[in-house]
Amino acid sequence: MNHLEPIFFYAFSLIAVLGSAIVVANKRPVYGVLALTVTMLALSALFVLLKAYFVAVIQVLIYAGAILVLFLFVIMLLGMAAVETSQRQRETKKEALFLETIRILKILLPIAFFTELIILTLAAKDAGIGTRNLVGTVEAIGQALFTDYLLPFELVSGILLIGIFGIVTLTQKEEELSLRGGPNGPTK
Amino acid sequence: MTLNHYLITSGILFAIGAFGVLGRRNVIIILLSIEIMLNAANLSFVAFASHLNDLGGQVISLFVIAIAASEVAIGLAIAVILFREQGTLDPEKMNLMKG
Amino acid sequence: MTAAASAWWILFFPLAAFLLIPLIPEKKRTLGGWLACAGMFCAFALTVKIAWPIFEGQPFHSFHASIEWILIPNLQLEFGVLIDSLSVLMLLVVTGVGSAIFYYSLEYMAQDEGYRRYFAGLSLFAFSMIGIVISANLLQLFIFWELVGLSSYLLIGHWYQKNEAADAGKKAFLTNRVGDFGFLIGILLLWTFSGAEAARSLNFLNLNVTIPAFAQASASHGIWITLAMLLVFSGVLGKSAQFPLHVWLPDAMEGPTPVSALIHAATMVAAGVYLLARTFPLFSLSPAALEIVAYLGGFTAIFAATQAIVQNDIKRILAYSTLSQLGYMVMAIGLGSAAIGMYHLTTHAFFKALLFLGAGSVIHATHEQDIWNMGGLAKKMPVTSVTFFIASFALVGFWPASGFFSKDEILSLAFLENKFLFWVAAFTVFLTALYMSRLIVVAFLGTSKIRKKLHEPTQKMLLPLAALAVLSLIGGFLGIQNILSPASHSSHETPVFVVALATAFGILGVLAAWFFYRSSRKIQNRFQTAFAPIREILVRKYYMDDLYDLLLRYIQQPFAQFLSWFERKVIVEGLVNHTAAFAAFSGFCLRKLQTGRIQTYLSVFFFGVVILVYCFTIANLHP
Repeated sequence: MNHLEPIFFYAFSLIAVLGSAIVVANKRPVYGVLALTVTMLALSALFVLLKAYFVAVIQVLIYAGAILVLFLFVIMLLGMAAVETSQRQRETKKEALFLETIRILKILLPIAFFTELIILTLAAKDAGIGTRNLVGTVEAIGQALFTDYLLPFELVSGILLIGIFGIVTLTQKEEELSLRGGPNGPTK
Repeated sequence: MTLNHYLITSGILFAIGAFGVLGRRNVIIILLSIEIMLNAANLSFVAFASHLNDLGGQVISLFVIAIAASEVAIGLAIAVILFREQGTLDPEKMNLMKG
Repeated sequence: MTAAASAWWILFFPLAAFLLIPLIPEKKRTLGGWLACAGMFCAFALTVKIAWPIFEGQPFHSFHASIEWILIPNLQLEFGVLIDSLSVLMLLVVTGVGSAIFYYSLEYMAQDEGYRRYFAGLSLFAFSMIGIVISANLLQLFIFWELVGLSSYLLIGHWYQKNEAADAGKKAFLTNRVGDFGFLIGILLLWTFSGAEAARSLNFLNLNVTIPAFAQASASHGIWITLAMLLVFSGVLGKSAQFPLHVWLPDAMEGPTPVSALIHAATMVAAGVYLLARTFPLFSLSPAALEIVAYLGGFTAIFAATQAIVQNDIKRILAYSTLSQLGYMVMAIGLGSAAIGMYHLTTHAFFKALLFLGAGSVIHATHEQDIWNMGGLAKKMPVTSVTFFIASFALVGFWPASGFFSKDEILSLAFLENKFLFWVAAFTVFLTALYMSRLIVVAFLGTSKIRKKLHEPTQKMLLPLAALAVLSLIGGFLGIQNILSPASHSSHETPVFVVALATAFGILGVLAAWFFYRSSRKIQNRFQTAFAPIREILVRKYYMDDLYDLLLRYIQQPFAQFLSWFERKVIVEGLVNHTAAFAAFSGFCLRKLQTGRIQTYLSVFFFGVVILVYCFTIANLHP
């Protein structure tokens, strides 16, 4: 296994990077969702390489199984045509030049940040990945979650609860507004 | 494989995600890019967990996944509402707050 | 009670009356009048108590008491009392004459609607005037000085429903403002001269030491002292109605007659003379300033006396006479004797208050102010007439009335110091005799032109008249002049020539008036046509009012309009609006940064992150 690790690492890293590149680069959000699924699976494989088995499983379950499905649902809800916004608007030459500059800057910024990360990484002493006797089994993670990380765990549950409240309120308001004759609903 | 390999992979993913957030003009894709960035961070967490022989990194990455789930749910809800109100998913059109 | 405490109480009583009178209900209005009188009587009683050593012929020991009031670097300001022979004399005049007039007002104003307002104003005036007199430093004096101006304004405009009264009040206030502006600058100048920075003080006792030291420090300082003293004198010009700021006093006669008696004849207008006497040690440092003071006083004396001849309103005649007499006092001080000036101030307070109160009685009975509509009053109002004659006697300066002594002091002083001013003053005696005789001949003698039955005022009004008449008659024998300068009186004898000349001029004036105004209409008319141009000038008050009108119209108004234009165009539009426009413009520019686009914000945020990462990590790496 050990001698195969670099192969797996490079292969899955490549898949993850390519997948995310497709997410960012293509015009259609549906493809983006599918490409992201691929990225998530590749990342989960990387987690396996790091012996974080539980995280890998959860990654697949939650991302591929829940989050990305949610994206698909929303795209379906809004309609394919609606979610594909036209990238270009009518603009004069002057504006075009200005916008182009900004666009380049927006590409340059992540590159600059990435460069910084690379410099930092290379400056650090090249460290091996531990002793590899840390295994993220369900039991070990469970132990950690319910002992050392109990408070953050509970807080996360609180955040999830608030998230649920938020979504319910957002959607409910919409209905009530239309029922009461709000801005877009029928007036009396 | 060393820690640096994982970190560089994570950095590449993060930069791609950042570009998506800054450069794309579609709320759905922006949300997807945010997911990429979160996962890049997750990868760093788990890599550091292995490097430091500490389960904390893995636990935190679980938390990140949970937070990401709720964030996506709310983000998508907002996107749906915005679409209903304004008929577009272009973030540049979302300028009700502009002075 | 110590003497200092008494001085505080003198100040306190009228103030208490002023504060309490508004609380009295309209139904019990007479109580208000009595309260004001009580305050004044108490003040008078305390003054007498303080002054008692003088009456016993002992030398008066002046004293000074103060509490610290404002302490800022370079200025220690105290709120204090300074009682010396000068302020005691002035206090006696103010509270004594004041008491008589307060008492007189009880009857005179009994039917007036603004009865309580009147007495409150009178008490405020008494408070302020006493404040001026006992002030221990210049700034405190200035504050009370302004308060006096305020109460004068309130009392002149007592019948504010009448336009003339309201205008007269305004005129008095504004004219005084001109003088007081200079006065304040003068005070500030004196302050800068008063010694080392840390020890500066406006206390009179300190100023009398520090300013001469300043004057001696350098020869060039003399001009500054002259300037400062002339500025202080401009306050005197306003308050004592000296030329050219005299215009308000005749108009101030629109106020109630007791007010004219108290404020615009006996005490307030004398405040300027008092100030001159108080700051005399400083004035004496500048011969040039004193000379100007003397000439202005002399000029005002003759200038006002000529105008008095043609006035028809009984109160206005007296007002011009007041101007003239104030001119005498100012001249006396300008010629170098504060004591003589104050002496004349005192006697003048007696007989001029008496004249005004007599005029008040006449007006009260006849409801008439034009002397040509009176006539024959002597038969119908004998007591009033007798007191009025006594006062006129004193005013013209016939022996043995009080005016004789004080006026002759002034004349002999002028005779010794300045021959020109002596002749001016002597001629003014003739004019004084002329206009007073004219007043008496026309209004009190001859046949009555008033149909209705006249009667003497009640005892309440006659009592003050009698008291003042006695004082006017015997004031010269009371040794008032000795209070201020115990030694000087005996040092130089009044030249017989001066006395004879003054009396001759006086008799001449009386005779001229007697023959002219008792003569037939024909002669009078011939005279009037012959002197028509001069008469016209006099009636128009030497065109002073017209001159001020022109000044206002062609200088002050355009200047005000320019300032208004400057304020509107340059300050508001130029500075204020442009400041606002700059704020708006910068907001407009900054708003460009607020694109409202999330991604722009995010980009900036991310840019910040990049910079921060660089600063905190990469910049610190050691290769």
